[in-house]
Amino acid sequence: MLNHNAKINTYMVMIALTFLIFTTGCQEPYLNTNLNANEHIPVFNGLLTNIDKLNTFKLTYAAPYTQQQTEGIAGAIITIEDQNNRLIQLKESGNGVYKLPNGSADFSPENEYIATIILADGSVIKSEPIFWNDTLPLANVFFDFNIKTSLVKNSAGEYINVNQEGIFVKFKLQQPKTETVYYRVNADYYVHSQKWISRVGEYIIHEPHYDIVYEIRYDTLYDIYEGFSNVDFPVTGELFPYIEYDQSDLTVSALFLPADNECRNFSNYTEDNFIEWLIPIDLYHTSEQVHNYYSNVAKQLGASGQIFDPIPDQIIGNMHNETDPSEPVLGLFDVVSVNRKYLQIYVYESLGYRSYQSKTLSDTVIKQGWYPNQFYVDTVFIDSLPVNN
Amino acid sequence: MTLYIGSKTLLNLNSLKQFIGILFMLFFMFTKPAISQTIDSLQISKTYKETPITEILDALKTEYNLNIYYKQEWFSEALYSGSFNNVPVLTVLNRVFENTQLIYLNIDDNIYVIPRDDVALILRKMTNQNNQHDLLKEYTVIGNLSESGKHKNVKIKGLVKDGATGDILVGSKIIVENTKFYATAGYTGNYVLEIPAGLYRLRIISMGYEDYFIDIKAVSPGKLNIEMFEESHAINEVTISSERTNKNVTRNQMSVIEMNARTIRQLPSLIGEPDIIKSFASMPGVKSASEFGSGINVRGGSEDQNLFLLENSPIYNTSHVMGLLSVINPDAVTKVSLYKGHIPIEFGERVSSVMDIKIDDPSISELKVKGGIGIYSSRLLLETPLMNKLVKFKIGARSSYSDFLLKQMPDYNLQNSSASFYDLTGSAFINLKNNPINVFGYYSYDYFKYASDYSYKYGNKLYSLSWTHIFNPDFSATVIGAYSNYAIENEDKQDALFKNSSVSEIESTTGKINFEYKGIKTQNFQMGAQGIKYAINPGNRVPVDYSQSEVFNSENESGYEMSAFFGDDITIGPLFSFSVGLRYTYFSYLGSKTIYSYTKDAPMLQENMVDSTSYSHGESIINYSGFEPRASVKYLISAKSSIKLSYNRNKQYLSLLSYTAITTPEDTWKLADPYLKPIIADQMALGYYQNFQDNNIEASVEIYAKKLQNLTEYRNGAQLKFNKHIETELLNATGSNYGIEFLIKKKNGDLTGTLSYTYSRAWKQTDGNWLVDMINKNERYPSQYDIPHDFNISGNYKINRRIRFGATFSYSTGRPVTLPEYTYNLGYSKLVYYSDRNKYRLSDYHRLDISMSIDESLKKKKNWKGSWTFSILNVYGRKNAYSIFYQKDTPTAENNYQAFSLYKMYLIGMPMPTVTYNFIF
Repeated sequence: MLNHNAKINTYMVMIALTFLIFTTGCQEPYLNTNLNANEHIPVFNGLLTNIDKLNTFKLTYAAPYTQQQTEGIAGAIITIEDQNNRLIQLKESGNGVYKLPNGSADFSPENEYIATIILADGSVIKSEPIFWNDTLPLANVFFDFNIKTSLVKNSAGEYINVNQEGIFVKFKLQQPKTETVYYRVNADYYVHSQKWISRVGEYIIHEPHYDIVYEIRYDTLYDIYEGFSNVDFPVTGELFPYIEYDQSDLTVSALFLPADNECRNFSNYTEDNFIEWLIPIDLYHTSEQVHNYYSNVAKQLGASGQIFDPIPDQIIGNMHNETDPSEPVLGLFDVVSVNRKYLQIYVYESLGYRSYQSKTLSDTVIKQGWYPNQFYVDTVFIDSLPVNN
Repeated sequence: MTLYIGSKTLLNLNSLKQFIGILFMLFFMFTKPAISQTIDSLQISKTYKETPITEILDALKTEYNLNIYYKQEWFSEALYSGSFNNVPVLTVLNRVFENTQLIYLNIDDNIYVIPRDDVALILRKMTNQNNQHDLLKEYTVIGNLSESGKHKNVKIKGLVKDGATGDILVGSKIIVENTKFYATAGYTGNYVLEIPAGLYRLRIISMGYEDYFIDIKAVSPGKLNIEMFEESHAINEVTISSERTNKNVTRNQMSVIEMNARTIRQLPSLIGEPDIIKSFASMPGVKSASEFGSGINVRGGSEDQNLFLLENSPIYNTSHVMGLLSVINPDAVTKVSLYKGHIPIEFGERVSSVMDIKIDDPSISELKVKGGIGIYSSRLLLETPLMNKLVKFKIGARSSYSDFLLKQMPDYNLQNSSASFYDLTGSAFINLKNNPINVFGYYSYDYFKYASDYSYKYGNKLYSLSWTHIFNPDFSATVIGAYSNYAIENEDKQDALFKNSSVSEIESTTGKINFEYKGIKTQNFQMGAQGIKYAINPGNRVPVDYSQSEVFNSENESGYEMSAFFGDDITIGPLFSFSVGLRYTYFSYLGSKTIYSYTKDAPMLQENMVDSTSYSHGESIINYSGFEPRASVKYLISAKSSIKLSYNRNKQYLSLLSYTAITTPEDTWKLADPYLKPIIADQMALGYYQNFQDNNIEASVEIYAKKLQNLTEYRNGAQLKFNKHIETELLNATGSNYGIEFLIKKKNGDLTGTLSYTYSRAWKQTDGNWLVDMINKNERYPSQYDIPHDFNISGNYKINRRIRFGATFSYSTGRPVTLPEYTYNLGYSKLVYYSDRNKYRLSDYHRLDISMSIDESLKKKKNWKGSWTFSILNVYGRKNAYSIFYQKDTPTAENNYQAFSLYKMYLIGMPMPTVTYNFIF
């Protein structure tokens, strides 16, 4: 958001030129019938953080462009070594997924780490040394309502502006004092809803000379947790110590939650409903190299028509093949400190008026208690909640 | 005594008897009634057996009402025997007179019989060669017959002009057939021809005009004014024709394509007016970068390897509106020559081609206004003589009105966008005797804005002055001064925090002197010198309003290029000629500048910089120099066929750094420096030229091979703008281009057209020592201009003198492209890994265009003349791929809002009708 890249100017100008001159000019899907992709190119995506749940190590082969599924690489030996030559070997857990034996306990910031992979055919792949930076301060997490405008292509192939109402989850960074800071942000969310349902049951007692109808009322609480992974590309950015930023410049939007019908339609909400969103916000303190990598990825993902055929940017990670340096290795090994905060947003409905309340939590435990509308919510252990799509 | 028919000499008689005889015939010519049927259609069926010839003639007169004049005494007792069955009467007469001393003349269906001996005797006395002249040939006498025999050599002077309009025809050649003598009409249309006295046949050639033949008898110094005429039907719509002669066979120059003003007017137009530069793309060896890209690719070279000279000033951006139209006003142009190889010695600076565009027009004789109205732009040109025809002045303007069209677009951003241009062209030819001067000026302005986010303004400014001093008809010197400036300004307001404005510019000043000496009959000698001063601002960026955009000031570049050249065209006999030339160039790259140095043990990347050196203003940083030899040989097999061979070396010290297949405003001009070495090209070409049907059909085949050194290649993700270490983004490469070009052209008749086919390859190869300095592991790969097969056919059919139909079909192999080959994941994002550079190709390109033209009225007295052209482009709706790109699919729940696919962009996806109205008054 705070980046600037002259290349995007070219792309946008060229896109505009397409629309500008030719009403008969158009696009259509293109199938490369001469595709010749028979090589085995290893891809390693490894993330080592101070939060165990976020550590991931996946080793696969890149798939030919026309296929959707990538193939996991089994039988590889993956080690992570620090600058003191301490070596930890990952355990294979299947389908190209590897895990740390003891979580993040063996690692600490302010050290340099290198990942080494020995494939079954003896090829050695190595990362460049990555320095583990300390965490970045994450202050003042909040939300606001707004409209997000996106340019999307509809089923007719026309580009239209789509406006979505929703909630922007934001936080404020701090002005760096001496060194340039490179960061990345991710936020998943959970929706927790509770609904009291009153049921009425009746039965009839037939006496010798009169009928009696008894009514039994009971309430049922439906307690639903749904976890969603944020599939949007992570927000990346850099902050320079020599620029004086306004507060608005230091505000980063971590997540956008589009308002669905239930949110907007008052009539569906009653005093019997309780809705809350539990949003963990992760602020990664990364390196310049990794930041550039993500920027290049964003360019590739954001490209919407390069009509003058600029030479494509090949995304080069920080892995290389030591056995044959001319063979490509894709992916990225990153070591980051993550500062995580939780934002809790819940709905308060009263007398036909609705408001949204929020709390910022630094804990993974949301303690039980009474909420407006006389809802009592039990303690929630966020870490124990599964995140599903 | 001389007998004339009209202005032509018939007989020069010495005897009164002959005179009376002729008088006798003339009397009957004016008294005898005309025959009721033409003599050509008359057929005879008769048998003669020892019949007196006079009796045969009398019978013909009586039975067929023919007018035949003769003197009885010329026949003696001549008899004839023969039989004819439906034989034309003229054939009968030929047979009858065959063995006699008499011949006949057919004048307006009247037959005049004349003694053969008398005529031959007189003619034989007049000729000084043993040539067998046609006894009936009519000769124009030059000089005074009373001075016959007094002059050994005769100087003939005269004026060559257009017989219909009176315009002088500069450059017309007056050739004395079967001799080595010739003359050329100069800037004023006058010529001087000196030949020995005698009988000759002259052939006068002028581009765009029918060859003119005249038989002369050179007796004493005299005058011969010549009028030439165009053909009566329209010139081909798409044919780029040179002269209607065998010039393609006989001239020494090969690998050249020429166009004149009339041909330019007939060029096909896409959006309302002909595009001179793109029209060359239908010729072999020349490709347009795309349907709407600027510039051309010649024999596999990039756009910046072509030098575009507009009245001696170089143009650095040849297109309006990102490539929609070229910057050249087609109405103002008088001549265009494109040299694909065998570049003349007076040109240099580029390694692929030189396009020499002329605006000056010494033939302007009256006030004329012409213009055109198209669907996107309009143009107007005024030309007039001034100061009693001392000055020939021309000024033209073009302008677009696209904003009106944009407001009709459905998209909100486009409604708030803008794309427009205008340009002004002017020239003044000052006809000072022996010192003609030409002054030229050009200005263009383009503006492009997308919504409120981006805007581009750019333009060319060109000025030139050319002064020729004619010492004598054989020796002249031309001094040229030229200035060119191209600047572009860009505003980026997409990111509010980083709003910025940037400017980049290139400027050059040229001085040139060229001497030409034709005094030696078999040689044409040329020598000269040239100096060019370059100044480049690669790009400066400043914040707009209160944005936080960082100020970036590129260091300016400057340098000068000096060259000296000489060349000689030598004719050895009528069949063999060759030309040799040598050009020496010297280039100096100047400060003020900071030059960075890098460790030799690692790739030249910014992080491997070890030192920097500052140079002061004007201080020489590095020099390059070298020779550019040029040579060619021509062997004339016959008047209609020849073989030519050429070699030239060219050097280029200025390149355009472009990260896309087509030049865009984001590209950067760059001088050769310590890291970016000058491009060197060596090209050889061999050609065979053959004409058929009296030069009505021209055919040629040329083979060429070109080696290029120090080409520029780019790293993946190269950042070319606002980069102080731009040398770290560039890689060195070599190029190898070769091909064979076929061309057949039919020039005359109701059906005319051209057919061309080229098979060519253009390869590139890097030579990096480090992996990051290699493209495709240093293996040879096709350059983005590699088009193996290129086929063009265009035809024009004339219904009548005003209506003609035209069609053009083009086919070419798709150009190389780099496409995604593999996919892999990063979190929930799907990424692609691209293939080796240029591994794949776009689908083949082919397109059919048709047109119908209603040309202007042929009435000379009609003041306002308009013409209409109706065209359908892309008749069968071919969706030719303009580019292939990788973009996000329509986001749906099924594809998880994250799917990406390959898409093909095409510009003209369906038949596109256009209409153009042109006028002249």
